Amino acid sequence: MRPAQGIAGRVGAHVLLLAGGGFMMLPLLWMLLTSIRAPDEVFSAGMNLLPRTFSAIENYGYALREAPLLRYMLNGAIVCTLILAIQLLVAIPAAYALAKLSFRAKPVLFALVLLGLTIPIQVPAIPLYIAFSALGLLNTFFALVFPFTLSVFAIFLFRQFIKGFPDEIIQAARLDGFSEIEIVLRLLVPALKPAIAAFAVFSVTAHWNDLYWPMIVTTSPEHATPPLGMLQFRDAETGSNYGALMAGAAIVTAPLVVGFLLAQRQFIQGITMTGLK
Amino acid sequence: MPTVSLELITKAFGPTAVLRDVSLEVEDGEFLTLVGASGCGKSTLLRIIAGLEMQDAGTVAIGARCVDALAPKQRDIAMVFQSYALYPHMTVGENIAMPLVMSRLRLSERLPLLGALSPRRRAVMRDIRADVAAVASQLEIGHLLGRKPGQLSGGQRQRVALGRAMVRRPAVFLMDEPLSNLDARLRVHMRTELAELHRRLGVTFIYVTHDQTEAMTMSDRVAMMDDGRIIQLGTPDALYHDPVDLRVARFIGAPSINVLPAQADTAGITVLGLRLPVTATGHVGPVQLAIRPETLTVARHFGEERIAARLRHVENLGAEFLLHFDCGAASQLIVRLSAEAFQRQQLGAGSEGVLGVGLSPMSVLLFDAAGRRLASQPTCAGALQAAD
Amino acid sequence: MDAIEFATMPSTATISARIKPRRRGRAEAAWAYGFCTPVALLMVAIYLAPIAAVAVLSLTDYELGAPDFTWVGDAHFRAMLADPVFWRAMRNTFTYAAIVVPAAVGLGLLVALLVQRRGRLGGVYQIIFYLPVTTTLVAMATVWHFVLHPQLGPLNAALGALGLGRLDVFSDPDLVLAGLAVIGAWQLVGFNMILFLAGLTAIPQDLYDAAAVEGADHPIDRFLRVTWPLLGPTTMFVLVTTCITAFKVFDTVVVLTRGGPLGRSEVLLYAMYLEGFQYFRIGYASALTLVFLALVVAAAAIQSFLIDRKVHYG
Repeated sequence: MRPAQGIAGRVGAHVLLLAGGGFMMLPLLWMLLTSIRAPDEVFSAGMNLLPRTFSAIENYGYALREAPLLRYMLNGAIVCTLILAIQLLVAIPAAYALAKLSFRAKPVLFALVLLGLTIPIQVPAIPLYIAFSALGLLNTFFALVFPFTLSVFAIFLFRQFIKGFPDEIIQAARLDGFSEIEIVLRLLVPALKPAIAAFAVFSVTAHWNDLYWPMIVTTSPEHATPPLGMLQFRDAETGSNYGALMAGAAIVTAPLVVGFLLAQRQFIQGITMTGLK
Repeated sequence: MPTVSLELITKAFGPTAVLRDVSLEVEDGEFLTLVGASGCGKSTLLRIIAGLEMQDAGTVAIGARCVDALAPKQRDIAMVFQSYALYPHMTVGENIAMPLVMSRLRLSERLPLLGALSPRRRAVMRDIRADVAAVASQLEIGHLLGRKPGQLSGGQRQRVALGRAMVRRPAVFLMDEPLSNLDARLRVHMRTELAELHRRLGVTFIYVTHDQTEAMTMSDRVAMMDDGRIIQLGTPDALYHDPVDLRVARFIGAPSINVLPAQADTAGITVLGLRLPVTATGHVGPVQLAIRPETLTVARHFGEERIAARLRHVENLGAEFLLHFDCGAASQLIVRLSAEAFQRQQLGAGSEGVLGVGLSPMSVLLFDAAGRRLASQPTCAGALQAAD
Repeated sequence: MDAIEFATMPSTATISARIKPRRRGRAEAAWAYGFCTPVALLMVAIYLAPIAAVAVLSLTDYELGAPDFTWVGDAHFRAMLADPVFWRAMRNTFTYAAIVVPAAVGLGLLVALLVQRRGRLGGVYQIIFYLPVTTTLVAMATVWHFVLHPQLGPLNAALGALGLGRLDVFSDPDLVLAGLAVIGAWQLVGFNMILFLAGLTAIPQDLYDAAAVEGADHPIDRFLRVTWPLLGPTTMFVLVTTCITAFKVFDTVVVLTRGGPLGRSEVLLYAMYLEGFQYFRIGYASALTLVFLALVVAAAAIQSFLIDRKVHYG
């Protein structure tokens, strides 16, 4: 503890942080407050903080009835789970091969992995859409999931981790008769759990919140994901029922926010791992 | 007049007391080492002198003025860190110049763009560069001024850290385990260099280390610390030959001092079946008997004057031998013999079995059960024996 | 006799050492290829083939649903360079980035510096600042629209109470990009804060101590001499990722402005979307996609180049 920082400095820091924090929370708080206000109150000027009438049930009920928000969230959950599962299935063995095994195509493959890290989904979108359209696969979960099954970031991340895994253990396992698949399943996957958790958070967040691709391949509400569903709900409601609109936004945003509050460490670890490239 | 004066320094981190009422006076121009095991508080004490930590109680004075309210940069000190703390993005020259840039240029002159507009800055920088060059040549790193720390070896980095400290011409040099990151051979070499540097500069050095060899070979005085207190402050000789506490006796000296359980009565000491003509002044009962390995002798017979001990292991160090003995009751002894003494005794191959280890009563150090030193004196018989 | 024989006969160990590598090498490679097959196939299907297709399509006048197409060479690219709408989209995108990047990076750094030594309270602040990052942008854009609503939103109510005029952010051509940028920065600050915090904690305390002893204990000195230089790689990374994220702005445009008013918020990705999936001019959209790809790759390339230089120097 150095000789105490000036009190002025410390108070100043807190003032700034509180102001910034207030700005960060402003939309979230406003969303929650409006979602429990009665419609007429919404229109009567916006400065009173606490709602005078409590209309949560009406607003949320309205939102859930008018837009199949729960359906959207279910779709989101299905899509994110499928994407994550396949991503792990594809990435972990490949990461192992790139980290520990030797084969001639290794440098080429790794170079491709590095290149892929920079390419966002919007680049291959057009040809993929044309292909799905030709195959009649639009408006399916397959179309929503397929382009994301290859997570180059996952391969890179897991490769880094596996590189740190001691070679001797793997060699001992081979001597004991482990096949390579067993090495991956029984040795590496348990050791990779923190990395998998952090990546899972990163993947679910990214794909729950994705708008571009779902907007292109989905036109029916049966397959809409939360952002798409929210968009459709908003387009239908513009200008009228703000209370319900905010309720809808709250419902859509809640899962990830609550998930973050419950698992902060994993979220933050996931971010620092992107930084440790 | 002492350069650094500490009075009743107390410091705790949370519930853990790290320093307890530590008082110390460091004389002008002396090389004083704070030595002790990890966690004894020596680094914390150094940081308090530097002003990087604030003590909970007590005062620090440097050069007869109280510095408690002063920031580190105002205390006229310089510090060399264990990790050298060189700025990795600056060249060696810029690293060494940093303290001068900070002290001689005003804040407005230091700012990256606006500073360049100041006319005074150019003149000051020229002087600074001259000072840096002088220090660099003294440490023989003048040819490295343009390099970055990442390109230097450990020994070179250490010299840059020294240069950065020297360029301020402080009243006191503070060093926090500066040699522990070097390999063994380099460490020996740097010990000599640091001692020479101290002689050349004539400035007060306060040095912290856990290595008792450094403490013994470099210092004018050594303060041994344990559990937040200074146990003994004295010259290396005093700590070696006249320790006031068993902890000091154990810590100083390599190989470690031998400690044996013994019984004191009014007529003498009994240790491992041997009767010694030494009494503990004013103390009877169980005592701990400590004796340095080089004061023991070995012979093929044992009996009333020698402890029976079984030779477990011999370490051949070339110029001397270390013999490890088992003397029953979970006691062990290490004896240091010169190579010729070893040859004379023909203790080479085939020396299994029991040998006799002899102690000289004059070299025995006695401590009570708590480790406090007991004054001892030979009885008449012992005095006669010693005279032989 | 026996001794000599024993000495010349290779031991079983050396035999297996000679045979195993080749056999083991082949087996190992077989497994490796097996493990990498899904990746390779997906890589072709999702990245390589589509990018090649985009390149090819950009040279045609293919329209979705048309039975055939003709080769038009670089006609699209020439049209693009002459098209004021294209340049407007580029200008809008870069203007947006020019507002978002300094704001999100600068504020992210500032917040990280402030939060760094607050102890437990700092943890609470971190949560508060990071919450926006987890939110669904489409939903939050809707909320922001309401917050900035000229009649119903608290911001304008506050401006009115202070006697200042009301702002209709999303209907004002001069303000719309700023409004979008505010939302964009709002969502990014927390993310950058975390990245900067990771970089800050990596700076050894020893350097600050040495600086304190030498006289650099003024916060500005500490920042200039120690913090900023050592944050170099982190800052670089944050800048580039924020740039790339800014170039990818889309959600807020779709929800709030649809490119308006007067096309002042039509950004590159939105233009791509319109061309490809509303007007179905696939050829031209593919050309736009290549421009977008070039931007993103350039940003990433600059980042690796500069980080390499730093690593060499550091």
